[in-house]
Amino acid sequence: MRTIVAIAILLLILLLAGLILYLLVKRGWSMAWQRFEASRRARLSVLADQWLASDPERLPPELERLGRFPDRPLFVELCLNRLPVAGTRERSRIVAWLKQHELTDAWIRQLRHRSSWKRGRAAETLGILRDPDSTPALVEALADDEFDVRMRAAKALGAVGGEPARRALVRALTDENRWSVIRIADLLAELGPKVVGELIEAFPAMGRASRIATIDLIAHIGDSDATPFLVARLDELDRDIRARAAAALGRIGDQRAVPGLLAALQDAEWPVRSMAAKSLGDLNVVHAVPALAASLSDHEWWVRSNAADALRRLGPAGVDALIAALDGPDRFARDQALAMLESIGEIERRLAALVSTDENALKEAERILAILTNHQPSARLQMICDHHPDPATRQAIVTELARVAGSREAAQ
Amino acid sequence: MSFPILDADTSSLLARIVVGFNKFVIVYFLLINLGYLSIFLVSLRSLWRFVRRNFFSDYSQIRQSDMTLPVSLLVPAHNEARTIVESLRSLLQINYGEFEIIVINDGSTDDTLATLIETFKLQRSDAPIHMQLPCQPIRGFYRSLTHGNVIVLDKVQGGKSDALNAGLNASRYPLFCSIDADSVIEEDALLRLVKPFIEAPQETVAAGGIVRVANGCTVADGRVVRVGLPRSRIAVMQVVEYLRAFLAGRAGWSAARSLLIISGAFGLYRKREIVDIGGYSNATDTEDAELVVRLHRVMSDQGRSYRIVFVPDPVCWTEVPETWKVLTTQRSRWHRGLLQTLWLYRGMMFRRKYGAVGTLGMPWFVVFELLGPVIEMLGYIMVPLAWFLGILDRTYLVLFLIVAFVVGALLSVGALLLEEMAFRRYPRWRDLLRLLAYGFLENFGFRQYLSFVKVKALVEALWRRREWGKMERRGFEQHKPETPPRLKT
Repeated sequence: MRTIVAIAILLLILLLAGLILYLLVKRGWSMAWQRFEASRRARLSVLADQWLASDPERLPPELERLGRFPDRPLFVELCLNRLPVAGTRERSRIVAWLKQHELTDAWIRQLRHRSSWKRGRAAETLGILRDPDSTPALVEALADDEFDVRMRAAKALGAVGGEPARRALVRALTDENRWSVIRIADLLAELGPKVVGELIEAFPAMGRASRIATIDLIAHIGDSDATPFLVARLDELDRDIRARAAAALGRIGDQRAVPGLLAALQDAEWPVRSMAAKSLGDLNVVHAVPALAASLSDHEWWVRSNAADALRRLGPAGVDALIAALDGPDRFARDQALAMLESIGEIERRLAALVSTDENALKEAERILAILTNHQPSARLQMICDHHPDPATRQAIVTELARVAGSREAAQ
Repeated sequence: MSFPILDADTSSLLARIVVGFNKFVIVYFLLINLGYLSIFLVSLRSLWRFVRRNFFSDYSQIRQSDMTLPVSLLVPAHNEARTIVESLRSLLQINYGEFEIIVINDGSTDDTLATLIETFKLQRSDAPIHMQLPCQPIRGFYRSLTHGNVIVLDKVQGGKSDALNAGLNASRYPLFCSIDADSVIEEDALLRLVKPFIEAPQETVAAGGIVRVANGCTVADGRVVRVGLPRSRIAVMQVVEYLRAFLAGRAGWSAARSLLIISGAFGLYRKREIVDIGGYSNATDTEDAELVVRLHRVMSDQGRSYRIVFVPDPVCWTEVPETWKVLTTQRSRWHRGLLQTLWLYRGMMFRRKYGAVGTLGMPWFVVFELLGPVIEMLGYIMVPLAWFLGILDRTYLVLFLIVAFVVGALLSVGALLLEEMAFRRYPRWRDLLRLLAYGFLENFGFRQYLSFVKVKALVEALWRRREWGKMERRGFEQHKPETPPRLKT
């Protein structure tokens, strides 16, 4: 029995020693290898510069007889790293060299490798190459079992471009995974207005996540031809689609959206109201001021906040509506209006008139201070006073506050 | 074979008990180490897959996407005047789309609130709060004039769970992240932690990142700019311990769908689910573990398909105790909390309805994590007893101690290997060698002391003693450009 235990202990000690040795050797080897690689990479980089700058093209002898390891993979890596920033001539040389060495075909074949990691890497590489010959294989890889491979293939197709790639990506937008939908939508966004028509065409067949992503995508592309389509989306049953459509209309900036957005301000769902308020500000719809001022009393903070911000962006008419809201019956509207006016320095500017010689301005400042005194807690007024940059105004506010307090006491 | 004071029968009975216990210990020892080895292997596989998959991850896409869910960062603070500004600056620098930071000043008696008001130009606001969860009265709601996404709640003291509930009430976003005020999270940590919520939005309800030891690291402008080991031996042993717990433990438990703990220092949750289950509870000393186990229970009761995951690369740096006294208090609380949580949800044990949590995770935690220290302490008592009774087999004892030591060291070295393979956060040779050395040294005294503390905590729990203890905050080491980086002592 003791012999067995002793052997077990010996094995454990050997295992421990092996692990420690492996750990140290791994660290040492990887550091040494990194240094070696860096030096080889530097040398190969110089040679690559010479090759790409040569006219007529002349491949340095050292590159003609590259060793299989580590120089060849390092040189391929260098080439791939250069491709995204390479000019036309450099790109065509690199792509031709890779084709000549049958690497492009090897990567296309690797899209069917049993290792998902290799499939993903191949898709990534083909995306850098942007070789139209790889499109059919990449379209096929969009149906890969592995999420990451599908995403790399989609990214590669986005980089390759062309109608077959575009159509495949729009079809892939119906993937059930929400994150893949988002990423494919990001890729389609880079392809520009060309995809909008195809997206609108495919919209009825899409699932919820894809529909939302599509609306965001159209907003991102900013194609005003999509305005009627988006206005129609304001009547969808799904509140998120309505909200996204309202936001998209603001981003596109087409005035044809105004009636729909004004109606959306009365939507039963707060995300829709909130986005409609924001978009009315984006579209600079001055005649929406009364409706936006009413939204300052909305029971949802986001709607109030966006309405206040929209009023700010509508200029003097909007700011006047915010000032008027300070004296309104709704506590939330007062708070929101004050926060917005403070953030843009309007309260500070208006109260500065307390030391003005202009009688009208002085009266207006006193009126605002009186409103604030009536409706806001004294601590907040004290803070407004403390933060005012002008000492004379600060003193005037203090005096006015004392006067109001005195008159209140007398009234009591 | 008999002890002179005792009669022959008693001596014989004691000897039988000691021998029986020894046999039990051998079986227990084999099982616990086989278990650790299995978890280690699962962790190894899970980390390997993670690193491979992460090769393809493009965090800039998550950052830029309009559809990445916005996050409310909840930072409970009680007497954190020394570190709160640094922590908040660190949070303001995180690389994430839309987020808000809610600092909850939980009845601090120091200058925490005043420091925040002064530094971040806070302004009192009357913003309404949706009181979905019970919490102590909120005295003030402040918004920052300099940082639009910073909110500070000032409330009557109610403990960490109460503060988090208050923060949840004030939060606006669908995800929330609890962060300790004395911690620094890395710039991309939130982007990395949110990934499971994007990849599996219907299933993922909670995700936890890795907590690493900040002692010895240099922090500048709210970021860890140089990773190093602390000089304090206690702190270095905790570095090894944390690596083992997270990389060789939680990664495996997460892969086995039995993750029972998401560190309160850095966890991301779906707000709706947490509000639905009643938010944080102060029923135990460890609100983070209690919340996760309750979440498991409710999700399983509802028959929902869900995921609670550990993500190994979002890093939260935190200060660990450097004195035995504070370490003792902290570990007592952790172990008491473990007992309370397991007791509270004992009904989940061995029930298939609760999946791997009920059939694997909880039984393991009860038998090996909770009671392991008790068995270990009993073993230390049995050795002199066996010697008194004259039945001590010295060869057996020595062999057993060697095995225990080698297996302990194996687990520590294994964790360091995982760290080296996946992340290599300690790039200097000196640090690696020190970690290796402490992987051995912790088996001589440190582990035994912690076992003793845990047993003491269990005894205290029977008397319902609850003591949170005070963490002695030293503040993060600041980077001073004019002088070389200095190790903290």
